[in-house]
Amino acid sequence: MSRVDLLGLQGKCKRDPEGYRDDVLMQLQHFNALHGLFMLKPGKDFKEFADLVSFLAQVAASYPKDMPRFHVALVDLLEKHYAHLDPSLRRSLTSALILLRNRGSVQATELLPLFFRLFRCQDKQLRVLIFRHVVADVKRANKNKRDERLNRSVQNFLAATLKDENEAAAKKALAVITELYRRNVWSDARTVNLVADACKHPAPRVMVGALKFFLGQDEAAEAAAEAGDEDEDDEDEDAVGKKAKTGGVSRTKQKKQAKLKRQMASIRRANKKEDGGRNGEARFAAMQLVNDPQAFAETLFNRLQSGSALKFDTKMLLIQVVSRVVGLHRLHLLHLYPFLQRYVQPNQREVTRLLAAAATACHELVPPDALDPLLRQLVNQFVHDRARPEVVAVGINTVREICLRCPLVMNSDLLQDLAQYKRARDKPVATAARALISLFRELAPKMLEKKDRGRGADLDRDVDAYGSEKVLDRIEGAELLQREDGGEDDSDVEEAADSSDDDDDEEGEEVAEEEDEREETEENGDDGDGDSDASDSDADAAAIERTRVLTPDDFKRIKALRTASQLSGAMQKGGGKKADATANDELRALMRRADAERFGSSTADRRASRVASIMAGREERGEFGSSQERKNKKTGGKSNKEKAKKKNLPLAARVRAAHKRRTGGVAKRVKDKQQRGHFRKGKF
Amino acid sequence: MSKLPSDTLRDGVSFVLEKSKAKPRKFTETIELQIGLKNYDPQKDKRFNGTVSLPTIPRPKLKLCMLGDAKHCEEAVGVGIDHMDVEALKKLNKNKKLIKKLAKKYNHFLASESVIKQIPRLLGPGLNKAGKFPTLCTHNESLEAKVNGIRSQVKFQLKKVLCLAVAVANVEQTEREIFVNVQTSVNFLVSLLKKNWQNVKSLYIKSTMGPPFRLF
Repeated sequence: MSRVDLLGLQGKCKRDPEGYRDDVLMQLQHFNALHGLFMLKPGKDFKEFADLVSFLAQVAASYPKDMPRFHVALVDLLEKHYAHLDPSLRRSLTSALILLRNRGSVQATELLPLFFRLFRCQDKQLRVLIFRHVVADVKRANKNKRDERLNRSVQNFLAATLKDENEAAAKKALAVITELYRRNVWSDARTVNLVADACKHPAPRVMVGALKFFLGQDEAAEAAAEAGDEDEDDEDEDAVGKKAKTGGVSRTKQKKQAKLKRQMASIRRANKKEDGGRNGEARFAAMQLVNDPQAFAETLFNRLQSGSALKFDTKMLLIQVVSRVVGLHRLHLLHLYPFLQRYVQPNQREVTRLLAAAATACHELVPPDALDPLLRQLVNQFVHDRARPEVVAVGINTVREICLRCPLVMNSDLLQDLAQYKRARDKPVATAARALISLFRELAPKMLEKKDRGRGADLDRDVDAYGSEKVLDRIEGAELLQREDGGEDDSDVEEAADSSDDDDDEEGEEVAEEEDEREETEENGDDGDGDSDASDSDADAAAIERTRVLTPDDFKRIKALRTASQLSGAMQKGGGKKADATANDELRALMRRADAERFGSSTADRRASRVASIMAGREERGEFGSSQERKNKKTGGKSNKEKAKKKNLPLAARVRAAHKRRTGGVAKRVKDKQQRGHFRKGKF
Repeated sequence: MSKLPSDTLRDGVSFVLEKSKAKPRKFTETIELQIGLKNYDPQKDKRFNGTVSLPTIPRPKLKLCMLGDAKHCEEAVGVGIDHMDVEALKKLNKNKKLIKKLAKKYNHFLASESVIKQIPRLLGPGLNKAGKFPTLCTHNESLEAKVNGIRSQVKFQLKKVLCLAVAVANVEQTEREIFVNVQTSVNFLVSLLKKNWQNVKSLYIKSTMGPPFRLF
């Protein structure tokens, strides 16, 4: 039968499967005969066979009982002769199998081994076809509900393929995994660990693919997350700006306002950094899921050390991945730093990436003496008077990044030397030096020269000693909350009652009652500024978080108070006493209003205030009425429209005007033409 | 209004104590706080990690080991904790198995200033891998205070899963002490979370062998 006949028969079979059963069975017999021939020796004349296969694949779903072995025949043929078959026949056989799979008459596990064998063919179109199918198949299976059984079996198969000696198959398996991770179909630890295993593959190209997975995936995710964050920030900024304008800081001068805004921005930036993990490292989702990071890093590093045959780019990737794993999981891999030291030279290829990797590999658990040679080398090679300015800038910036992660490595002599570059003629160098200075103003001001420390530097602050653990006695910001509450309480009329309450606190008896009373006092309490010294001693006696469970509102207030105290601290540093007194007042007011607006009031309160404001807006406006009434009240002559209606015209002109009003000024001839298509399609 | 009423908490504490008294065990049961989180993606969001010291010691028998210089080792004998000097550490010879054994034997390590910097070189990554890298102990502070401080602190650390459990008290303590400890740790945990109470799915307390009590 010719191709056209087969297509006709196909249509008929789909409409009436029972009626055309005999025809199909005949075609099946024909197929079996041809299949036998092809199994013996794939012939040149395949056109008819290909048509037959695609016909049978199309109708197979209608006759499940008649051809249970059909796909097996196809699989057998492909497995045996895939290398010798004509490319177009091979493709049509494969698409027949894909069709069968999409209709659900074959299991994925039956086809996958064949498909991965076919990846070895020198046929790009075929490989693309199969790759797309495998990805789409898994994606579809997981669309509504995760199909764990399928995932597991496919992943097991892929794991075996990844270990395959054949590079092409392994690469494609990796590509499938990567693609499914990127599409968020497989994002679990199993998937990531498959890729981690692929990093050990002997073929460098497979390894490079796996390494790029660890570097690239996260960057994409990070970019997306960052974009989201920025939007949020803008909103925030607007809110702050509006608040500042609507009154909170109306008394302050513009300069002070600008400063406030700057400080707000810097605090927000700091908070964001904290949220994103230490120095924004927390987003490497894939790397977080690696099972044994230490072993992973060690294997990669061994490969790096022994792999003199590797290309430079591959080595670079290895260095980047190893240092990220080390930095993220805070691993001890002390040989890494001397290894990196070899590459720290200004004329090294890709030196910035390398330095970035070196900085990433630093964390606070690295012993300072292990890092010291690296830092010395960096400073000696990059930061000297005869080096080019951009080289110096890169060097100082890297030093700052290393110190940010591992501040103990810096000593004051070196720091003071580097700080002198702040007067450098080249801007990048000066900026870099200033950034380093400002970092150490935060970390340990006393390591800087006196003039660099800035006003109000805290000389007691020092870098945490190696291995010291940060243990908190209290929740951060709880003392602020307590002081504020205490202040309000003290100014209250019920001071006597309060003091007895505080006694209760210390004995720690009637917590629930105490809480109730506290709430009452809060309601009564106005914004008095009681002597906070007295309440301080009380605060130490009974920490607020030990006496009651903090509510969501408490946490919101703590957050607001912490921002306020950070702000006022920053404002104090710059200005004189008077300036910070006013700033303090303003901030307090700002915070209080923010509290009341955002957190303090309930939904009902908010609604009431909204309704009140609406009503206030309506007072000046008259009642609504009909438009006719408004027109009647109108004074000052007629409008052009009214005049046109009343105008005396000859009859013909009046008829024409009326017609124009009806048709909207478009002639019937034109309208018919415009709407011809609609009439034809029967839309009217 | 508080998310966790004091009455519920008090009921929970007395329930746990009652159950443990009803069937006494041959050891001191520890009371632990079990937390389930929600709206948190451990892959994307920051994994929080915080240590707080509680008013009373939840685990008085916490096993500590001092990796110290001569002076600290002497003091360790006085305080009654195990100790190892640099020579003993060198004897381990970076043997992974021995170091793993050492890490398993103790809950927490302390190290003197001169020793702690050598630890990565002497012992390799073993201790760090077990999450038991030593804490610094200087000669300025008394060892006893330091030991008590460590015994009273609890660590909240989110790992790959959305639940965590911490030992916050034991059944030997008075009801009041347990109450304050649980309250402090709940407050601290909630303060660590990004959206505070909105991230808390469930809170349970239970003693080692007793039935759980749902607080939240």
